[in-house]
Amino acid sequence: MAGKKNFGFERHAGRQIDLDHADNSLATELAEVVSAWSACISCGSCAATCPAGQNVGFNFRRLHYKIKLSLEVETDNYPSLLTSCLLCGKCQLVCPRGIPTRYLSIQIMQKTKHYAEVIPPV
Amino acid sequence: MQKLFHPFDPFVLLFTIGFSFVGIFFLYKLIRWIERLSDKDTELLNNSIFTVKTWQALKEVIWESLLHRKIFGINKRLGYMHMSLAFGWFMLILIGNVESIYYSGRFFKPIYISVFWRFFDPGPSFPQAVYQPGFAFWMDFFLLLVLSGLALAIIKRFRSVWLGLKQTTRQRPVDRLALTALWLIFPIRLLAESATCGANGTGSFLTGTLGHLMSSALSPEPSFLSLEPFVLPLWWAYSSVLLLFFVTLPFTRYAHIPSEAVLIFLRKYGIRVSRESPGYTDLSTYSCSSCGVCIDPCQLSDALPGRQVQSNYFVKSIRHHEHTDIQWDCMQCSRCEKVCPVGLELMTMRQLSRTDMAMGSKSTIIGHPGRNGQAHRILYFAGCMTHLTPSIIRSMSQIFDQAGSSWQFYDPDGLACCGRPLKLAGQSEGANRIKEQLQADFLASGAELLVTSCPICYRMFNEDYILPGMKVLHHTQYILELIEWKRIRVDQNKLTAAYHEPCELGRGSGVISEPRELMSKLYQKDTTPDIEGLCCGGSLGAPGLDLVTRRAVARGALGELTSGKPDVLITACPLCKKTFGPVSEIPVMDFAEAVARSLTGGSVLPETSKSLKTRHKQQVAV
Amino acid sequence: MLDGREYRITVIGAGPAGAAAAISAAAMSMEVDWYDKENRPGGKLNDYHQLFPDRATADQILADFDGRTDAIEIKKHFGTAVNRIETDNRQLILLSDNKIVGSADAVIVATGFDFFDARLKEEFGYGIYDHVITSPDLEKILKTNPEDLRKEGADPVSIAFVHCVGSRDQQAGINYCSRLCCITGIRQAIGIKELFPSCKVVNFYIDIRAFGSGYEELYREAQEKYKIQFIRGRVSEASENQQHRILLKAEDTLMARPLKLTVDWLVLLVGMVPSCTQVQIDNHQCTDQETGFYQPVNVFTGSRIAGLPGIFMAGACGGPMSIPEAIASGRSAAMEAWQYLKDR
Repeated sequence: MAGKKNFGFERHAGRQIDLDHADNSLATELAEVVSAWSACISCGSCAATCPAGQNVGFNFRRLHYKIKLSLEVETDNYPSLLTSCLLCGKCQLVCPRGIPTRYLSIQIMQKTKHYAEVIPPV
Repeated sequence: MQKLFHPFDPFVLLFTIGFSFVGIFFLYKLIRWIERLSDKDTELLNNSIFTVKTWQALKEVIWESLLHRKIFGINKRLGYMHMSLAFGWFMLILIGNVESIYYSGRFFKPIYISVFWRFFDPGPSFPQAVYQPGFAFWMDFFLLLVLSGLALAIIKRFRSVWLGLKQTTRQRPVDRLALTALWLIFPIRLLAESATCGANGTGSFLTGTLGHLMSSALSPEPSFLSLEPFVLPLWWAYSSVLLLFFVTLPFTRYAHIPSEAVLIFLRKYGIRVSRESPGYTDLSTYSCSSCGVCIDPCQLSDALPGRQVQSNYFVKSIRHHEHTDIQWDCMQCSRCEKVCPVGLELMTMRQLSRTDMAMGSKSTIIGHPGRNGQAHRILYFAGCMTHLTPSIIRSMSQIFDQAGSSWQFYDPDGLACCGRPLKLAGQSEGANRIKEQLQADFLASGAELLVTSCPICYRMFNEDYILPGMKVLHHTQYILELIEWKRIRVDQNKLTAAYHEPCELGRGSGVISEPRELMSKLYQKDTTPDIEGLCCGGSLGAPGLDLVTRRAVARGALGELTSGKPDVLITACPLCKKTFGPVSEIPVMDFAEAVARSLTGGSVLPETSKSLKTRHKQQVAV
Repeated sequence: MLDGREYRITVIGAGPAGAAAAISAAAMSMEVDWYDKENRPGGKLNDYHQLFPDRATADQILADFDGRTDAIEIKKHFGTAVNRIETDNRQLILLSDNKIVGSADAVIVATGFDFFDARLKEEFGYGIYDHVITSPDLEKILKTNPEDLRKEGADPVSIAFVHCVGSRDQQAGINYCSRLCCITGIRQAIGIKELFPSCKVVNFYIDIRAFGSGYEELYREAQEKYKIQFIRGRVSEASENQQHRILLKAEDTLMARPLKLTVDWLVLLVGMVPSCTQVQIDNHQCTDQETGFYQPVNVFTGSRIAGLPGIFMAGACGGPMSIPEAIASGRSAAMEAWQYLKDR
């Protein structure tokens, strides 16, 4: 079994974002509820102004951008991240695209809660 | 046994079935409501039931459920409509009962006997009864009262403007069925009673006269017999519509008739809407009469035309467990709560209908109390939004310094939140965690006074925080104190100004007179319109609203606020300022800025952008 | 040879577009009346320091225009703001504050633009903190007295530029991109670096839109030669510390981490908005509902203002435009006006 010989390398899933096989059902569902979300230009204003994000590893822009790319929706445990969101709404006031980010946060939580039950919160 | 059910006629069975159904339904409901109260609320109920509170509640039931005093206060015609239907019907039942007891000599007897008493005993002969006020006269009088209310109700359905409502509620099919039954009950009763009276030559000014006319119309020659065949079918019809009304009642808005009375009692005992007492929340939803008074004050009626988001629709949707997103479409300005004749806790109900997902519960708040090791008398909490209106923060620091106050800035880096935004979004758990952190921090600071620039924070600190030995003031109150104690001096200028009252400060926290007093100290002329405070549209209460809707609300409010052509609009909330700023043609300032300008001798008015004005003239959208 | 001898044309605005239009119309022998609200020609060019991409001084261009407009017959009416045009049969009547000041067969509107009022974005602190300025403010400082940038004699330690202030911003009611702020920020950052080589200069951008010829090269030069730092992220808010330095909050979106920076000066690269001295034409709605700029009858082929015969537009009154573009549009408007007058 030459092929199985261990050379000290590990095989693991590729690092590529696989858009061919991305399941974007969550993104589609969210975009329906918060239509302006699709207009995000990733300027980072929301994450910049976020009081919660300054202290803990919560980055709202990154979080919803990952959902848009359908990345790690099952494993990333969004509900656990969103328990840091204060829903203060500053992000909404600075968003140049006028996205109701506060509602987006609530909707992500609502639509991903069931993953939290599968994966224990960190 | 036979004697008990005497007199009897088969048509009474229909009514009896319907009435028993309602009775059993609400008995079951009552048990469920009380069963699903929290331990604390059950204790409140047990401790208060045999106290004076019960009598007070009874008095309130008479004033509100029967006489509808509150609706009278809001709208006279609408009040008359509700009063005549409720009080009139109540009196018909009461007098009918007394009459049946009086003539039958029996106190205990099946209820149908008193309801259909006129059928069993047509009463004194006509026309004596017309002139001699007795049972027949008063029964006719109250029937007329009910019929007049009914006429108004019909007008309201088709021309609500005449009753002072721009819009009336839209109804579900079962509501329409019950409404039809209700509309039919009294005209049919009139016909049935008139036919009986006509056939027997009895009745008073209404039933007697109509009965006389009916009988003469049927046969020109006086012959009382000819009306006889119509009497029984009419009573059958009357009993049928009563059955229809009673059977549909529990599933319609008319369920409020018995529910509201229960609500009044429990409320008097100190029970309030809470997540722990779902029974009381359910009772509250049953108590909504869907009168529609909440529709016109709702600014979303104009900003979201055609969308049914107002409180009565919301209450209906949770009562019927409809899965909609209606709970998010509310700015929580509490304009509807203020006018609700039933006094429902609409804002709390809306908050609790937003699922608590424990958002915010893992956040840490970082502030700066006593960083330099020294306790200051005043702790200044700007509020997170105020960091986006830095001119308010700057003005406040100028005011503190001018007054020579010993103060410290709690959140200079903008890393703190009071927790109320979470609470408004239904995230009570997170809100509590934030509260506990901040509360401990505030108390550790050793300050005696907490001043905030944000009405949202102010309300949260006042309602939810426990801060012994610490006074909480909104900056308008604090500034007024400084002026009164002559610590600072402001000069009145010649400008005309209008005040926009933030919802959370005015209606929300009852800070009403202080800002108005400041207005008179700052400006020679105050053109604040005499209307209930409006929401700016920026509200944290409504996560679901998009920017276009918010701007529509802001424009609508600005239209009203600037109707007196003021030079400047003054507000007391960073969020209101931020919301009005981009859509207002005149400058929008916070009180802190206006006062700081007066203190530093700067120009009293900020310049408005010329380019902005051009854009307004062109009526650029958004 | 185009001969416009019997045509009387009016050009409103004496910025680059207006100057180019006036010169071209006069070269076609038309009778030219030239108006501007200011007492001198040049418009905003008078306040500019350098231009991109070659960083020629604004004064050079101004001198060139002056030479050419003096050499040709143009009737100048400076200091008169024409703010209304009324159509009377085939004559166009010009009014200034409801007083008739002249008439013409055709009019070229070249009223330019205004800079976005940065006070509308209060979170950046413009008009509140002394050390928050806009790109036109900085341009004036660079042109007149760059020493003003020093603080108590010391060179500034750090300066930041914020892109897209009043551009692509629905909160400010401006959805379009002003296109030129990016390159302005790059050029001004270079200017700062030349004055204060040790100063840390950071540009906060969302997208770098270096669309014009030579712009991309200038961008690269800013990175390579001047070591200007470009951070992909928009500044959300600014505050002031005890030392009157400005504290910025942004996100480095490429790192997905919040970022803070303290600077001596914060420069807001403000966008372009319709001029507040736009000319009202009859009672016509001739501006775009959303942007407020004049609308041409056809964006590809016609510079005539939609719905109005005889009135043409040139330069940034029709939307954000660079100086070379404005000059070219001034010339083409003159040409189109001649053709219109010949054919009518």
